[in-house]
Amino acid sequence: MKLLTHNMLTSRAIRGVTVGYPLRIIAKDIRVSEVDFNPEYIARIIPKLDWTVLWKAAESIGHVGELPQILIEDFESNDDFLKKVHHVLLEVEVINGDLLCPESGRKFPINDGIPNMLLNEDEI
Amino acid sequence: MAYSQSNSRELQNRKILEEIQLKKQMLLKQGVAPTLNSSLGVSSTGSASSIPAIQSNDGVAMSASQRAALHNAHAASFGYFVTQDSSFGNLILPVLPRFDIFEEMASLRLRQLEEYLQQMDVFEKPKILLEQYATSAHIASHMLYNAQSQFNDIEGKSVADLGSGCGILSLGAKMLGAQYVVGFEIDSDAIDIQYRNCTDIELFVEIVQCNVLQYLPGKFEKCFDTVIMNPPFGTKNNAGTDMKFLEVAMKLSSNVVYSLHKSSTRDYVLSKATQLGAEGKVIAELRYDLPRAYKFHKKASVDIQVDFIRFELKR
Repeated sequence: MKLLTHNMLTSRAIRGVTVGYPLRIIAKDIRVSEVDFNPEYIARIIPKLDWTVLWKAAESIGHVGELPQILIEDFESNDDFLKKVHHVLLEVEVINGDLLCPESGRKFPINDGIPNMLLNEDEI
Repeated sequence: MAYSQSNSRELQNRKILEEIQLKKQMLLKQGVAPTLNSSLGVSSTGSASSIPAIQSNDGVAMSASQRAALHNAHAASFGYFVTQDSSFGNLILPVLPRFDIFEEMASLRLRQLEEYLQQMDVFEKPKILLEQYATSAHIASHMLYNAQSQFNDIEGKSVADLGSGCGILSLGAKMLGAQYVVGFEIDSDAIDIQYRNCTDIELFVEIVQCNVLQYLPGKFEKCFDTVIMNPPFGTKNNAGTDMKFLEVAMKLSSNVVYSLHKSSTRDYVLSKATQLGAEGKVIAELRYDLPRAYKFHKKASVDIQVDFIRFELKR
């Protein structure tokens, strides 16, 4: 699970949970691999992100690097900055661990990098 | 003083130009430059001017040796050449790129894509309730190739695959250069196969295990540029499932959705798409060959007519 994916995952589908976001990450294994850098793509995806959630998630698993806590304004033209975002969004992956619902504490396991967001019938 | 100086220079320039013009005309009369002949090994050297000039297709007079040189250039190079009288007296001008070469390269990509996808594992025990018909490598490669080559909707894009199954469309999208691909799938067995396919070819896409119809869109709303899917057609006990998938897909995408639907439901699908704020266009009609995967199929295989539809979201 890349942090870009984590930025979109919620536990809102659980009955009684209203926001279910952001999910806390308990990371057991993390893999960092090289992904081709496409600055236009990163510039395009940034407005779709919850920046604070991304920063906190990266920090919580020890991979925030030099990413600023607040999104800079001229990010589109700043290749250095885009590269840092690229790294955190696409190159850092949680391979094994858990995601925790912030409201109910429900655990969603991550195995082989695949988060399992399925719920039991009685949870819906 | 300054004026007269520039005036004399102008005169000089004009003289040079006239000389060049004269030389050019002489060269044109002589035909192709002798160096070109020798370097290309064209046999009909001799006096090029003695051979009567022939009108070429472009309406430019060409001698046989010029024609031979052009022919040789075409055969020996990847480039494309036009016969045109340039201001430098060249009759044969190189033009790059030559489009049919690019098309050839692209079709090679299509064949290659299909070959790669053919090597992937598919469902071991398809589940009736989930309508697990694997998308054939042939259909998947053509869907993806069309989406990329005709509409530029894959390369460098965020792509989602709903009901990704064994991951043939997800991995195919990744092969064609999608920047970020997520396959959403409910079934653990299918996910195991998709994960195995990823490790086999060392190409990884994101997989999220969830119930597409219950979990999505959530915060994934408008997150993807392109959604490409082969939804359950909803023919058995779960009629209308493909339309529910389509509805979710249109929420996830900010731009375009590619999907397969039974041709018999075309009018309904297209009008429903309009209601959902998208314009659907049938890109291809496919014969979907369903091998007898389930016991209730009496024939060895059943062909059904399927539309490959591109839905463009209105913004």
